[in-house]
Amino acid sequence: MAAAELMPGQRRFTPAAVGADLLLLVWFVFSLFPLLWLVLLSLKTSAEQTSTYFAFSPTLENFSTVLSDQGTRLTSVNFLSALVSSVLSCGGAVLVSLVIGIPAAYAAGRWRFRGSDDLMFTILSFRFAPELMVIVPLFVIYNQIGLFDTKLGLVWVLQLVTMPLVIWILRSYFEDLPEDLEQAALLDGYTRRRAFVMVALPLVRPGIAAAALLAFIFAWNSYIFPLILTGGTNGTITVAVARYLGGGGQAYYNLTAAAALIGALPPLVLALTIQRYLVRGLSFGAVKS
Amino acid sequence: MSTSAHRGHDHSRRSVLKSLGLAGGGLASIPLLNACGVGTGTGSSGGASAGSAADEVTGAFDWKKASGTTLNVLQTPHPYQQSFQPLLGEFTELTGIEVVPELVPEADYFTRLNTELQGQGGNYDVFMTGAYFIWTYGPPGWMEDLGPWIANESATNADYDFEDIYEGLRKATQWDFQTGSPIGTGGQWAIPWGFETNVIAYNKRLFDERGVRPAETFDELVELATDLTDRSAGRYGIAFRGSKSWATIHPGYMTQYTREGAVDYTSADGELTAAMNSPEAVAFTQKWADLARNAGPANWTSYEYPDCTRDLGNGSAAMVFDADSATYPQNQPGASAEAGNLAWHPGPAGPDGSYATNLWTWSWGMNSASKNKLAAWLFMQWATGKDAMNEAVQQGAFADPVRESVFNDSFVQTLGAFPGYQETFEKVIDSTTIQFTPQQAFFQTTEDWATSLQNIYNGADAQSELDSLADRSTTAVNQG
Repeated sequence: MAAAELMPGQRRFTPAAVGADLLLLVWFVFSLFPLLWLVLLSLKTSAEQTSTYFAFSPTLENFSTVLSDQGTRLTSVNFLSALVSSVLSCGGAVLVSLVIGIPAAYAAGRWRFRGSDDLMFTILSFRFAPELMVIVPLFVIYNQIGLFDTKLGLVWVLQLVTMPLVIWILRSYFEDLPEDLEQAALLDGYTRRRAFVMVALPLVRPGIAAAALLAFIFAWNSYIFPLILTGGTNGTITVAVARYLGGGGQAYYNLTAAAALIGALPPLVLALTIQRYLVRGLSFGAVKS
Repeated sequence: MSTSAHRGHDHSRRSVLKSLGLAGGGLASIPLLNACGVGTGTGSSGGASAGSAADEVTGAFDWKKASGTTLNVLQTPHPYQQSFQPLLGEFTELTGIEVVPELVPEADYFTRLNTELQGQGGNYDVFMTGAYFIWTYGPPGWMEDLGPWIANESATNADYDFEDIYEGLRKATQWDFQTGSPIGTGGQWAIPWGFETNVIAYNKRLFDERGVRPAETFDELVELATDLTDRSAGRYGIAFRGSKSWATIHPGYMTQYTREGAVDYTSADGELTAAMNSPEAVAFTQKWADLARNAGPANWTSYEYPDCTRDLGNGSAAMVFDADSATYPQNQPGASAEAGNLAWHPGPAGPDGSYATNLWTWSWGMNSASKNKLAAWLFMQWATGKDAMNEAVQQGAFADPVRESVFNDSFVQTLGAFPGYQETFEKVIDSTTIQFTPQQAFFQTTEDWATSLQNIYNGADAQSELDSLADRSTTAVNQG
């Protein structure tokens, strides 16, 4: 007997399909649980932070503590200025990476020469080098040239995080872009630079948005570089959040959770703002023709 | 078209190479190679104090001598730091020195401090340090010898009274950096600020209910902890640290290890020989691992001190063998479910009645690369002086103060609801110091020791495990 025809969107209820759905559901809960736990923790009082699971009296006090003078007293750093410092240094780092990285990615995607792959892997290796391995020489150099605890210093060192990402992601976009378009422009009398700016660049806009967002998130999450290379003035949000972990037997897990949630907002807002480009951008370039 | 593309390619390659050459030349002109001097430091080493910056301070003592200086202080969040933070304004008023504190989370504190000292950047003048870290940071010359500063009457207030700091603590922060030399020799590399003795804190409510008393010998402790363990009721007998870290060895384990008559190393002709495999050490270590298995927390091998004190506070652990200052906050009103029910006891005496106790002290060290050494010394002197410490103690979270006068004057007054705390302290203080032999491979060898302890806990043969640990440790400590 032939199986009944299924309407579009209708699914067959077989034990395997139901089992797969259940597994997906379990995985979904498992993946999101840390986030849920973070939200719950941020709503607990100090007395309830280690003694309760789901039943407690929620309070928003932790958020106001983090943003107030009391938080500054606990951590000796103003959380809002750390937030501003993070936005400026990560934004600056991404901007610099885009200005230098887009032409570099274009060149890497369009021309091959002897050693071009080696060069690309050298750039990528900056991303893989353990930060702790290079931090002492960097610290010494930063002290000598006066870049310790400066925004410029932070923007510079974050290039190790953002630049390889931007170049590698955008290279694959440029490689996927049909060369014929630029050649047609060249035939029409465009210079190479004009063909790049007027023809190639607008077509990879979604890629730029995706690369910029990813680079921003990676820079935002960077911890070791700002921990070692900044002091109290230009410290970033990751370092400010970790300060709430305390010491000497006093850990403010609830305040840490509240601070981490506030700290996660800027990348989230940014992602929502450029969502339009993002969905296309993340999948575009993933499959090569 | 392809020709034009190639031409563009050649052109841009030449330009790139040209630009790279220029950039390379520019970079080479920056004297980065000076950085090769990393770690050589400018301070004295080996306990010698020739040419100390303290000698440049002359004339009558005056708190205002470094007025107008800005002092950068590296700290980690701690009740000691929080007790002093409100007092920093008074220090500025007294000296005219502005203090800029920088807090680094405890987990990353020593990574940050290590980089700072190794880089000799001098960004921080004064820093919090533990005594064991002197054995790593002192020998390369990263720390200033404070002996000449204490001795100089022009730099040190006549009322400072360094001898008022408990002797065991003063000695714990001195060493001459020679393998085989004990603590208490050589320079004074840090000034103790707050400290902790490792003793038993117990749930008095539970003990009273069960009609039991704290154990006086180690065998009694094993029996008591086992009796108090009731896994079905979510309660176990005793908590102590068990993670794979040097910090597992130094509190309860090292305290009782020493009381049982064991030592970590023996010394002869400037060479150390590890003694973790001596008969008394093996017997004790086996009992300790068994105690953890039979009466300790279920996931003991990940236990650190906040886990131990949390379990005491919420009533799941009947006893904790760890720092008195870490269990102290759990008894403050509202701090935990068992607040008000806790009490303290020196812990088991050794077979010969020994109450030898290992300590941890948060101390102040001075960066040898500091450009503001006088201001740094005035700050250290103020923070470890009687007046500020008395004030900090009155804030109610400064356990234990390092000065005998402050302990007897202000601290004792805070101990009304802390049964046995004072008696315990008085019982052990004369035999409290660092019980380890100072050596530069301390963290490596002590972490290795914790690994062996875990292996024994997991069923490895104690004798062969500790024989192999002793072999490795002897090699490690005599290198260099």
